[in-house]
Amino acid sequence: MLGHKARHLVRRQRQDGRTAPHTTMPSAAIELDAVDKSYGKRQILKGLRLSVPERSLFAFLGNNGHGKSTTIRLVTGLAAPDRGSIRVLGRDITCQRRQVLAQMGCLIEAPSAYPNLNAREFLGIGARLKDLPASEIDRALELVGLHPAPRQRIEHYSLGMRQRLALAHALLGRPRLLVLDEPTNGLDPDGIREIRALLSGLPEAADCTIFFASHYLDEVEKTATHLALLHEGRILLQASAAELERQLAGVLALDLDDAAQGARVLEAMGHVARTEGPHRVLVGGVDRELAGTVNSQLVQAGLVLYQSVLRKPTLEQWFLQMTAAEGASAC
Amino acid sequence: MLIRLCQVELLKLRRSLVLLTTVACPAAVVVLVYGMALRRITPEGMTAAQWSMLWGSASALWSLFMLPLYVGLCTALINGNEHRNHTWRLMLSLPIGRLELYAAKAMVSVLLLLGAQLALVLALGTGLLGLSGFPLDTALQAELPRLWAAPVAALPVVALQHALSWRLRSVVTPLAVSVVATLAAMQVGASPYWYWLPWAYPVAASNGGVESMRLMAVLGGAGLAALLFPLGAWWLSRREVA
Repeated sequence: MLGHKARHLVRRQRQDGRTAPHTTMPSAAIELDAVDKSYGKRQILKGLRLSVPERSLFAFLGNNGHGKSTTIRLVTGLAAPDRGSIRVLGRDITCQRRQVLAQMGCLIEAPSAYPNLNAREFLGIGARLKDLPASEIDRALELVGLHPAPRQRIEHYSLGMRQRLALAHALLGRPRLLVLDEPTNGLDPDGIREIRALLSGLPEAADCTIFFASHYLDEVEKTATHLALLHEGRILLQASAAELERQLAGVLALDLDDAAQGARVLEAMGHVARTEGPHRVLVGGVDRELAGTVNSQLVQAGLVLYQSVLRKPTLEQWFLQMTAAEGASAC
Repeated sequence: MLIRLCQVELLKLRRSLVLLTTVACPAAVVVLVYGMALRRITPEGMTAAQWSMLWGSASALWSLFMLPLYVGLCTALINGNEHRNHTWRLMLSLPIGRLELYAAKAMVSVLLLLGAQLALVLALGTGLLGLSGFPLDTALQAELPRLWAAPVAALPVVALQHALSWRLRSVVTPLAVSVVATLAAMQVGASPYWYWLPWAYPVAASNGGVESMRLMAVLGGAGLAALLFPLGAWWLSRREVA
């Protein structure tokens, strides 16, 4: 029952020949149009369409091996598409790669660094190649809350420190677009909270867009303003968090004086209702608006409503259901 | 941008094995040659011809054996730095071109080769100055210019080893190629077919029996390198970052 409206949205988008509700989006920081990409005989991306609005915190979800990293490589110009166009910050990444990358910060897959260097030397690489002053290194370190001993080499850093350092590297030069692959990977709970708070504030504070891939759906739920679900090289759904919240149907649990009477009233109104004991009725496929209508209809029918709780699926439940349903339909 | 990239590549080598080998490889040659020579003769009793032979032995050992191995090791470590630390993506997601990075790494390899050559000359010179009876005129006029021919003739080896090390994740293959080719050069270097094997060029340039051979090794090396560097860049630019 959970998520059937979301699947309906997917079907509707497919019928319209698009996967993203472009009409509700402002100008795009990243725009992929009908992108195909294969490695050998294996087609990774199949007509991928994606639109990342400017100043959004865009979560890119998908299981391993379904094309997330390939998409990130294409967006950062590390690979070229077989077909289709990729525009990043208004420019074609395949033709104007350098101009685009000058305005971008990237953290791609594992936090990589040179273990024989210290943090300042490492950040000096990015600063020098982006033609930035040394003060920019201090700013980036301050932003991620990393205060290493001046002579401490990166080889002695914990994974969390390396992750912060890689993030600091990506933040050098106040980029307009941050592309991050698993930005909180390896961080402790406090670190995750700090990075989450940092990322949440960045789109507004630094006037930048953040496009990040993550497996932590809890993190995505708490931070993302928009999200897209990639499955087997295609976007299953792209929506803003608010849109998804509206679209996701839940279960309405009602405590009534007479559950049987309540169920009859609801079924007469066309709802799928089921009693659970003498006082409880569960109604499926309900969103926020419909929950309000159901409540008022029951009251108008003369029933006493003690409690009404709308249980929405978590993002994780939604994700698992969407990918499982798509897998089943593919079979 | 290329200069900045070279600076960055040099920055990456701080506290690395590459810098150590740049000094250690030529020093090992000098220590070995002096050790062997001084076991047989005393400095005071050496003739000009013997001094020249000592100088030539150092030059031959370096050009034939240590220099090609050093080039293999140096290029493998410079490129292996990116493979080992998974930093290709980090570098190539910065606003630089892949060809520029390729060129910068090649230039740093050449720079280090010149550094190693300078270390050899300084080590030889320091050792010689400590001894008496060394004919300085002969060294400056005849031997010293010859030593600088070896790195020029080694440029195609730099191009080949650099391309291999850039392309292959493991350092084992480039190093194995370096060892096998160096051993082959020891055999082929003395034959009339030496010019088929670039690893034999440095010793031909510095210790070739005739002037024409030395000249051919230098000019051939420079010409072949001018062909191999762009060819390697073109080959590798067609491949995507893994």
